[in-house]
Amino acid sequence: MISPTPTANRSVHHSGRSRGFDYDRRTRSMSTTLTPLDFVLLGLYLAGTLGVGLWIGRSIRTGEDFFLGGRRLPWWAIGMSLVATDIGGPDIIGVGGAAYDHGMAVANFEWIGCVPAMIIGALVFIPFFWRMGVATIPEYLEKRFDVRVRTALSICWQIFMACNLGVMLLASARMMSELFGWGETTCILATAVLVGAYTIVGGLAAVVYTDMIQCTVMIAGCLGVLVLGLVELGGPTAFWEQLEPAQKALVLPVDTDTPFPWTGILFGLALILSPAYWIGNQAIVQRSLGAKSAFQAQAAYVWGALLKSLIPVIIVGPGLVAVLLYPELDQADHAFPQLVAGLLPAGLRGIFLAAFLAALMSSVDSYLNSASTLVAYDIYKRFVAPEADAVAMLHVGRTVTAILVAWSIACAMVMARLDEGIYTIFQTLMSFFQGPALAVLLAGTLWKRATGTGALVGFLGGLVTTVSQFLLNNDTVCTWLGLRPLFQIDEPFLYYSIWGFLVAGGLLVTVSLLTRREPDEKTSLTVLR
Amino acid sequence: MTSTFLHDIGDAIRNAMATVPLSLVRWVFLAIPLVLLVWVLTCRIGDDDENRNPQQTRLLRIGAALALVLQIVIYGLL
Repeated sequence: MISPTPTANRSVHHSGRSRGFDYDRRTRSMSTTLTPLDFVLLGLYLAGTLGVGLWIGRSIRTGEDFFLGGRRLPWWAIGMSLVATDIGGPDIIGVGGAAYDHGMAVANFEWIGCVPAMIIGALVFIPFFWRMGVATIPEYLEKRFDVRVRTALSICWQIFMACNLGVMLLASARMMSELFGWGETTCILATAVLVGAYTIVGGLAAVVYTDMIQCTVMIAGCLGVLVLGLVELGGPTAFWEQLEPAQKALVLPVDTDTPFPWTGILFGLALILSPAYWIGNQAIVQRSLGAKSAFQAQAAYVWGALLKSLIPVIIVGPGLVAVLLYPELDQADHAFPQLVAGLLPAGLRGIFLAAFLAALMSSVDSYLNSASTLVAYDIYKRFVAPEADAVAMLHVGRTVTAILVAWSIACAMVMARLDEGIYTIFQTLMSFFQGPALAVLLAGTLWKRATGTGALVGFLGGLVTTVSQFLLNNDTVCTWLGLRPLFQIDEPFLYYSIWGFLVAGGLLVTVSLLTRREPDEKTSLTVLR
Repeated sequence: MTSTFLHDIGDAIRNAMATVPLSLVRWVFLAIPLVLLVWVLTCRIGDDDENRNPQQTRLLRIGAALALVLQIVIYGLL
C-alpha cells in the first residue's frame, strides 16, 4: 500500500504501498534505555523462532513440502502469516509516523485497502487457484495463456523480489543498528543468517509457523504501547476527544496536502493495488496454495481479513497517541520509538523490540521463500529440468534460497553505499507492474476471449506506461525536458497503478479481439464460471 | 515549465474529481463493504466442491460477513 509522507526517504510496503519512513537518529533514545532484561527477552524470542523453524525443517522431504508446506498448512496459521508478511518492521514505524503527520487516513491502507479484496479473494479466486494445483501464479498464467505471459510476469516478480530483499534487509539493518548500536554490516549479516537458516531448512511451513509466532508477538507488543499510551492520556474517550477533527478523518479531499486524497485511496488502492496484492502477489497467495483444502485456504483469508481490521488500531493508534503526548517531535517517524522509550518499562521494551524484529523477519522470510519458488518452478523446472523429481526440487529450493540470502546481503551492502535515488527506484518497482499484472490476471480468470498475445501486449504496454509516468514525474527528467511534473502530489504511486491498469486492460481487450481466440479446451478449466 | 496534453488530461480529471462532494465520497466508501456484504450473504460458496461440508460454508459466510460489518461500522462512524 502507499502512504507516502513527504519525508526524504520512504519504504515501500510489500503491496507496493509505500509508507513514510526515514532512517535518521530517531531511535537513539531507545538504544540507551534497553536493560539486560530486555535483551534476555529478545534472545529468548529469537532462539524460540529459530528453534521452531529448524524443528519444522526435520520433516521436509520433497519439493512440495518445501515450497507448499506439503499442502498441509492449517487456516489459522496461514491467516496469521498473511498479516505478519504484510506488516514489515519499517511499516510499524512508518505507519505510526504517517498517522502522527496525517491522522487516521493512513488506516485506509489496512481497512478499505485490504479487507474487501481479501474477502473477494477468499470467496472467488483463492479456491480457484488452489483447485488448479499450481505452485505459482505465473504457472496458472501459462495454463490460461502461454509461456510468454508466464515468463514475463515471473521475471518481473523475481526482479522485484530480488531487489526488495536487499531493500528490506537494509531497512531492517538500519533500524536494528539504531536500536542496538551495532554496526550496519553486522545487523545485515545477523538478520540474513537468522532468517536464512530457518527458511532454507524449513521452507514455507517454517515461514508460516514462525510468522504465526511473529504475528502474535507483533500484536502484543504494539497493543502494549497503545494501552500504556491511552492510560497516560486518561483513557480512550479522553484520547478521542483531544484529537482534532482533521486527525480523525478517513476520507480526505482531492486537494489535500497529504498523500492520501480519496481518489488515490479509492481508485488506486482499493480497486487496483489491493486486489493485485491479495490475489496476485506470489508471496501472499503461495501460503494459501499450501493449505490442506480449498476451504482451509478460504478460511485463512477470512481470518486474515478479521485480523486486518485490528491492525490500524495497534499501529495507527500509537501514532495518534504520540501526537497528543509528544506534539513537538522533529520527525514524525520518531513517534513510535518515542512512545516505547517514554512509556514502556524494562522488559516490555524488550517485548516491543521482539515485535519489531518479528515484523521484519516475517517479511524477509516470506519473500525469500516465494522468490525461490518462482525461480524453481518458473525457470528451473519449466526450462532447465522439466523431469526434476520431488527430491531434486527440494535441493533446488534450498540452493536457490541460500543464493538469494547471499544475494540479498550483497545487495543490501551495495545499496547502503548508493545514493538515495537509486535506493528509492528499487522500492518503487512493484508499483510499476501491479496494475498491469492485475489486468492480466482478471482478464485471464474472468474473460474467455482474452488471448495470450493480448495479455502479453497489455502487460508490457501497462509497464511502459507506469515507467514513463514515473520518469515524467521525476524532478531531474522534468527539469531536463522543461516540463512540469505530471502529478501534483509528492508520491503518486497510487496513480501509477490506476493508469497502468487502464492502459494494460485497454490494450489487452483490443489485441485479444484482433487475435485468434484460445481453444475451448484451454479456457474451459482455466476461466472462472 | 511547460505542459503537455497528458498534463491537460490529468488537470481535467483532477478538477472534475474535486467537484464531487466529500459527503458523497464517504457514502461510496461505506457502500463498498455494504454491497460486498449483500453479495457474501447471497452468493453460492463452494458449490463446485463435492467434499464441502455445509457447516464450513456457513462459517466462511459468517466470518466474511463479520469482517465486512466491522468495515461498515468503521466507515460509518469515522
